[in-house]
Amino acid sequence: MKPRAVLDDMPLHIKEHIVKSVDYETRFSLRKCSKSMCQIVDKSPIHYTTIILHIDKFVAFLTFSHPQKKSDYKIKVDYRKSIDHRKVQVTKWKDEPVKSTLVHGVEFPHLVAQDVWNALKNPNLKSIYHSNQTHELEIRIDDLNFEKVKLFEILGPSRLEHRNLYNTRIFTRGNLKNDMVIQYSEKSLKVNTNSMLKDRRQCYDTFPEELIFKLLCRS
Amino acid sequence: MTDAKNERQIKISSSDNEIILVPRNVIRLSTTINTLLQDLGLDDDEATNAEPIPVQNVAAPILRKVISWCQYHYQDPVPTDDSDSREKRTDDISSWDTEFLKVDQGTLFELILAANYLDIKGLLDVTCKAVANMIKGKSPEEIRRTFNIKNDFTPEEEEQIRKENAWCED
Repeated sequence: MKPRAVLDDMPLHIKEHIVKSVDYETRFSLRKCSKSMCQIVDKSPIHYTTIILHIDKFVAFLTFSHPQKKSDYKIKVDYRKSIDHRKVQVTKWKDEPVKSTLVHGVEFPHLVAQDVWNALKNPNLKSIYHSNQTHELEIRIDDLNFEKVKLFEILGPSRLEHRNLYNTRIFTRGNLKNDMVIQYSEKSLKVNTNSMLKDRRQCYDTFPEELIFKLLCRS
Repeated sequence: MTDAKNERQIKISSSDNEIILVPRNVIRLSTTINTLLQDLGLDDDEATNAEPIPVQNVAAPILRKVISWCQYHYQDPVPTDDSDSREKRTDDISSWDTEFLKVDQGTLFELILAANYLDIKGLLDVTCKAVANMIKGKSPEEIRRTFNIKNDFTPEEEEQIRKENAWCED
């Protein structure tokens, strides 16, 4: 009699080998299958070159992509806050909407933050850096009113630093006063704020987390 | 591809005690067998080994299938070490391998375990890619059903994880 094909019975390194071979979307599905698969996925190395989050009070768009790969390495999801409190419509897109789910009992910004964090919490997550070509991880946060849900705390510089996400740029755009591009590289950090008074560019030896947090919360 | 039949033969025995002769150059793809031959001082011999090399974890039908894969691939370039943790492509399985891997799921898993035990990197890569291709596009529940994964989340954890990345759900 043939043995049952039980993925859980496979040696750990084989499961890791398989996880390395699946696309972003399948990784998110796999981590929902069981605790052990969740642990494997969350530790298995992954590269994103772009994560773009556009978020405002009612709608968020989240895109993961890998420019060197085929289009199926791009995931686009939108989140819409329902008129009914604590419901969020979540829709996955290819060229057109392909799947839509209503999530109950959750605050809109918390859900978005959790999904972004699920993508970023992998300790082996790295942006791709080639000698002849730089790919940067981008996080665009288009609303600065998210200190309440601690989105910045979730995506904060210390976490990015911990994961060696050099060349990460965090774009924020809430109002003119707070337009800001943070470019964090291996050697320095550049914060470019387009204030109403003048453009400023400063370099820091270490990430001035407190300063940036204040800027973000200022709106 | 040169004829491997006239080369030195190695005798190996499966877990169900079937003895199989395999050309030395073909079984060279198995690091496990290579190491055993060297450790036993049999690698310099010209003759076929009298006592078969035991492959205790692999039954004869799977071992024959592994050998047929090695016979097709033994002259391939040595695969490069891709331990740089980049995600792997899965759309590059050759047409021969695609035909070779048209087996039931149980056999595919046995081939993975055999490739792992015999340490045949190319076969392990291609079989894992085949499983990855079977997983792709499936919802969590479909993956659990297909691969007999036990859902060990508590109801509270499941409720929480269902909300996360909800676009993966059915």
